[in-house]
Amino acid sequence: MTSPLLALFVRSLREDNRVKLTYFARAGLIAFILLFLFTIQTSIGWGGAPGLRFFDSVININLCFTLLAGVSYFASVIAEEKEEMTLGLLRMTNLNPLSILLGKSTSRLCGALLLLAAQLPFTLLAITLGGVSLGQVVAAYCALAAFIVFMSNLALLASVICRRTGGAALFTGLVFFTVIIAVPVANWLAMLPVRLGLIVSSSAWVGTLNSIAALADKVSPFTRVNEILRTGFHESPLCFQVVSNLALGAGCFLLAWAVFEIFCGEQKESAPSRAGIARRHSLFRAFSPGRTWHRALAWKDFYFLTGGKLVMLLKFVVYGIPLVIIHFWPVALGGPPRWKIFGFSIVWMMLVFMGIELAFVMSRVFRIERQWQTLSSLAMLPQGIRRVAYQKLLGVFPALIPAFCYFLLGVWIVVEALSKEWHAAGAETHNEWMEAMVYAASQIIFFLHLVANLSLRVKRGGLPLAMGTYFILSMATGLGMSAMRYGNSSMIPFIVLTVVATVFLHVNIGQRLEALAAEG
Amino acid sequence: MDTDNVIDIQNLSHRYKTHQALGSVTFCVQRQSIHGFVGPNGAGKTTTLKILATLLKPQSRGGQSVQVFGKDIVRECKAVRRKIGFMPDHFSMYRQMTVLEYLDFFGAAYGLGIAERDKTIDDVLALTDMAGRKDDLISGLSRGMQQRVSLARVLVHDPDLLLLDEPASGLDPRARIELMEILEELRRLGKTIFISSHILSELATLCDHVTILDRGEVKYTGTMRGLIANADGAAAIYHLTLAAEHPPASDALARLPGMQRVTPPLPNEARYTLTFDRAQLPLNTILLTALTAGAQVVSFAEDVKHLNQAFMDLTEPGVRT
Repeated sequence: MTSPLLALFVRSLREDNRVKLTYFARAGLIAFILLFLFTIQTSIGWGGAPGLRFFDSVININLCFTLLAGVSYFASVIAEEKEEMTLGLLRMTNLNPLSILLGKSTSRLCGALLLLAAQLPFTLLAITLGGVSLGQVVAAYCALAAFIVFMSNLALLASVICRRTGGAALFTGLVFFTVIIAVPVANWLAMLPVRLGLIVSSSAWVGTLNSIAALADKVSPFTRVNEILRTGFHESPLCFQVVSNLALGAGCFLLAWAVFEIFCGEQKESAPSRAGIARRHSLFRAFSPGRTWHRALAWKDFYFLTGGKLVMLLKFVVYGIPLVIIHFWPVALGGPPRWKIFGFSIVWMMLVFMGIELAFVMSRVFRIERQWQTLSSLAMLPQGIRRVAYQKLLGVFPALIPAFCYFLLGVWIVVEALSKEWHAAGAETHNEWMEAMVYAASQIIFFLHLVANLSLRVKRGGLPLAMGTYFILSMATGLGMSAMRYGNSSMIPFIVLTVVATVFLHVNIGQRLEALAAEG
Repeated sequence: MDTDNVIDIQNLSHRYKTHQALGSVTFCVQRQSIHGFVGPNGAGKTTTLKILATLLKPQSRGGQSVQVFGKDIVRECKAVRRKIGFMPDHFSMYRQMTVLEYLDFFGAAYGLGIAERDKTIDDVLALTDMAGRKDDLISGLSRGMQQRVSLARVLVHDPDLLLLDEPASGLDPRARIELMEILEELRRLGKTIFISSHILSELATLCDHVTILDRGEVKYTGTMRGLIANADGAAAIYHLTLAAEHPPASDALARLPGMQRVTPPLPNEARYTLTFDRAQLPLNTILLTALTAGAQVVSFAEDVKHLNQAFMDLTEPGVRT
């Protein structure tokens, strides 16, 4: 009989073994690797170390997916039990905190490590292709495995501390990026007083900061992978990064165990957050939702999904800060940039911000209704679920106003330069630009549909799943494009394909919403 | 269609992937009635309610029709939705909103103007006794109060028909009784209420009509009185309780034309059970005969069986496979 300590862990592993998805995921991953191999081969042939190029891409994609899994798959591990109010039930059994942590988190970690193991034999093909040695492959997978251990346990700690999955994901992301960003920031800070001529480079303070930066650099799996993939790598797979990542992972696990009673000791009501939304009789009533708009669903989503007026104001400030810094960048540090470059920076930055905001909102806009079982109430409104969905989207757009205002500012700055370039270019270039713009727009709209669709199909992690799916699809499209470009074909077939796929997803979202509303 | 019928379901069937949820269900719900909808778990009650609430489309079959207020629920879906309010069996609420925000949101979503919304919200808050808690967050309310808010939401667009799926589930006895009082009040206001519940004792006192569903088939539909009256065709069974045992009265009653049987009372209990032909023998004659014979009548009442018994008689034991 299984001991209580391992009961949940063993059950999770058995469940994973029983479900088809486990095997489909592994088979899909291998198919993806083989497809990737084919892409590399068709694009660069057998010359120029295709093995190294293939292996480099696979490892970097693995790193990105580990990061994504950290903020989605791993971060929900305890928080989902809290949200569903089932953690109390688990605690009423014979399971102690350690067995819950082992059962809930370590089984997921094992699943992720098995995914890594499944791809290893196929990535060994890189050695045959040339440009990479067995030592490099082993070292890279050791680095990856240690990184997964670190991320899963960091996310576990976040999941124990936070009440909701969203908070746990944010916590994991922030801690990780603090570690990663600490590297360039520490370096930059170390050199700033030197560059400004305030202190000499040999001072102790600079030396200390440089040491911290170097230490953080050694912990980073990205730096380690770069080292491994350099020609002539012959180090041991067990380096500082592997040991430190494993130690950090163990530390996070022990900390999660230590604070489990404090944060998960009692079951708390997991009502959705009302952060940033004041009540109508409070001191900050200017930020209260007030009366419902004529477009009631747009009102609801503007305030209760995107945060309302206060969050909008905060975005104006947060998005404005980097622009002010860039604009007033000291001359001693090579700034400020030229007016035109400044304008283009604003345009691109705001496009990225709008894209990120939209992706996040699309992953939540329907999922929240599903999670709180409110779809049936909305489906019964006389306008029907499809129009309800469109109205909900209307509520999302006001949240983009800050980024859009800055975007317009950027456009206003660069419009003259763009106009000159447009007039200088020929008709063929115009067509290419237009095609590229339409292609980019169609891809963005397709991606947003994919996010919304997948968020209605999986309980959690719709956004990372959509990113992964989009990545695979775009790789397949890239393969097709490179094949068709031999004949100097245009992007129009791909635009049409994207539009057809988008329409399919669009219709399917409506059907799925109706089905979920009927499920109750 | 009978214009008095708010709901008219004819030969409704529905199949999920693995099992037949509804066979050929046929029943009607009369205007301004409280119609109970009873059945064991898995009988098809929620499926029927979801179809009536337009959340689930009826699978097209010949001879099948589902009408609400004389309108087909598929073809005239929007018109039907305006006239019905559905309260599901789970809490389906935006719990980060205050009570007022929640009701105002649904009022606006149903297209009510601000003045109309204000009036309706005041009315429903008064009806559900939630006016004092209108600025409270829903997440901070007790389960009973959340159920009241849920009912207020259903009423906010002033529907004529309320579809309530297990509204008293999970409520404490006081909250249940208060909810039933609100439903009585709603009937007085002219609403038709179609209520699914497992709490049979409450349905027996609340409902005037009832439909019993078992394994997707209607086992009984009609008046509550018809279900619980212990009558077999024209034969009626009444209990006559006297102050003391009275053989002359018993003999006189037995000789009445139409009287089929007079069951003698148990020791220490002067209660006679009379079985007679309702058409031949008026109730007044029975009473008059007993009084003329010199008996002192304590009570005279029709024999009814408990709704639980009627339910057990009509439904099959065991779980559906």
